[in-house]
Amino acid sequence: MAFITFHKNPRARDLFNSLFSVRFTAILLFILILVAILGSFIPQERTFSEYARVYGIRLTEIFYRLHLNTLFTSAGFLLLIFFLSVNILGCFVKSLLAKKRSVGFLTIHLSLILLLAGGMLSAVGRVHGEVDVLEGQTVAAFTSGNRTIPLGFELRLKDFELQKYEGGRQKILILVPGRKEPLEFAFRKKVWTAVPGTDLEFQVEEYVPDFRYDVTRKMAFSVSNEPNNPAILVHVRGKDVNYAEWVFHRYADFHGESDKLLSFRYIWAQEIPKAFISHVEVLENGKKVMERAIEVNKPLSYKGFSIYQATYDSQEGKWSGFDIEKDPGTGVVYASILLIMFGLVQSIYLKPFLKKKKKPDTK
Amino acid sequence: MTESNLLSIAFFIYAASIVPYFLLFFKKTTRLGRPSMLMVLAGLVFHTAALAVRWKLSGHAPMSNMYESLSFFSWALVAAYLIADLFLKISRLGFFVLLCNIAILVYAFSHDKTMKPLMPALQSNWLLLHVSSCFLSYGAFAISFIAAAIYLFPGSKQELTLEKLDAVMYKAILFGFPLLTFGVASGAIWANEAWGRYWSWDPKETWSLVTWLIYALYLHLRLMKAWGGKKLAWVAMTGFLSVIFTYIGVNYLMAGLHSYAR
Repeated sequence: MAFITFHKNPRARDLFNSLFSVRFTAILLFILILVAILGSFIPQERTFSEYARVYGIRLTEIFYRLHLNTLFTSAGFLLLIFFLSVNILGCFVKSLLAKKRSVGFLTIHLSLILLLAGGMLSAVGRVHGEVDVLEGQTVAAFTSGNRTIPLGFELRLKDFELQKYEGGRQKILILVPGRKEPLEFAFRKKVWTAVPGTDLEFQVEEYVPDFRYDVTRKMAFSVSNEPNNPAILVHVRGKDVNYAEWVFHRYADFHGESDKLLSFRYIWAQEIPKAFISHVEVLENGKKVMERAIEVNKPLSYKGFSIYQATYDSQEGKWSGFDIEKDPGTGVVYASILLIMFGLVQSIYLKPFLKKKKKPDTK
Repeated sequence: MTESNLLSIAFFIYAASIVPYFLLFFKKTTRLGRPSMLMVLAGLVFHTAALAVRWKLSGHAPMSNMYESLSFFSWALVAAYLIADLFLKISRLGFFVLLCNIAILVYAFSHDKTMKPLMPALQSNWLLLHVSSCFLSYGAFAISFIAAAIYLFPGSKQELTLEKLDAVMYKAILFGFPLLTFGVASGAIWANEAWGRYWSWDPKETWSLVTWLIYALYLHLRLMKAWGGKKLAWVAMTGFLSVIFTYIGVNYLMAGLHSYAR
């Protein structure tokens, strides 16, 4: 009855037709394009001070007032997505009822509805947290927003391994009095190494990629993370000997004629990481149920949670950082991807090809 | 033969084939169609060999930095042109396609071509699927862009009717759209595998979406609203400008998860 009344009301009918029209689709797509472009030019979800530094206070306040700093999670954007979902759903139902569209068309538009539904599900139900775990330590929960989420199992980091590509290895060369050829050592931090032919040993205490020296504080520091002036602080010790000196990659003869026993040369090379591997154990009630290696592109999935290799201790290599996720929308989004690809391939690549094939028979 | 030698040979063949294509477009001769196409095909064979050699030596698909991706983009453009020529007979557009292709390769040569090992984030089978589908779609969209440009800025195009240009524009976009969709979708799946999030509104992702939306708009306007002519050609042009911004502009102007693409 309500349906009949609805159809008899010309205003409601016009609204219905406009809302579910291709014209409205085009308008929504156009607005979405503009909004996405705007959101790409204004960095999202930064702090007030970060915006103020780049854009000034006045513009920053406008960003906050118009929610341009959180554009893709703002109510306006969600409303736009809502209208787009309603529009696609309406067009889909209209086409279904009119029986005037192909399987491909219907599949593509159904998949878009699923995609938007999956996105909404993710926005509402996704939990995400970051945890840093020391070698030997165990984690059983993580924080997502203000909530503490129990994992339902324990994750123990047995060992973190940073693999590097060979060839890009940094070297330390030491010229020992009485030897013509320098001794070559692989670069290792905080490891005492004996120098053959002497009673001395050395250790690399510190590495700085972009060396500067603060004369007032009498302290070395790095201006940036770029290897513009790589230097190492080498500590040498032995019987009656104990000193430290900075050795530079670029300025090999920095110390000039030195009275030091050993003459160091530091060969810097780009260290390219090959793999970040966290060897972990999954424990339930204190018992080990699984042992795995978590790597970039190889997350661990267990009991609905996915655990990703996110960061690591770049100084000592003693801890590893994980991202933990649980997203109820992912499955729906993956299903929509499968559907949309099926629909596109069917309607754009296969259908015309099959039509052409059929033509000779119809003749 | 080294990758560099093979690519140089391909470059010279592409450059040389500009001459017959120039004659084909401006002198309106029809005899040069087949030889020109065979020349470009020969260039593509050498280009394919260059990519294969680099792949073999580096141990990964040659798509991990700007030099490699530009070389692959050039390859995809030529491949898309040859496929389009096969079905749509568009040899008169070849002159412009090859000019664009030479420009892409010259730009590629200005980048560092040292082979570097793959960083952990790129060590995935998705690299090949994601990048190749994106670039094949870019190749098709470049063809539609060239057709749209000739449509909008008329010159000597008596042999290329507006209907023909419109059809080339439409069919190239139609061919590229599923590939771009797969490119964006595979990128989302890969992102979920690497970072635990299939969509982060990273600038590259956002601009891929913008490009996808522009071409979706093009298809809706043409198929459902019966748009045509100059208005639609402008949409096709805008779509390709968005492709270029997604590919190059974002790398230099916006920081994000795809910063290794520089």
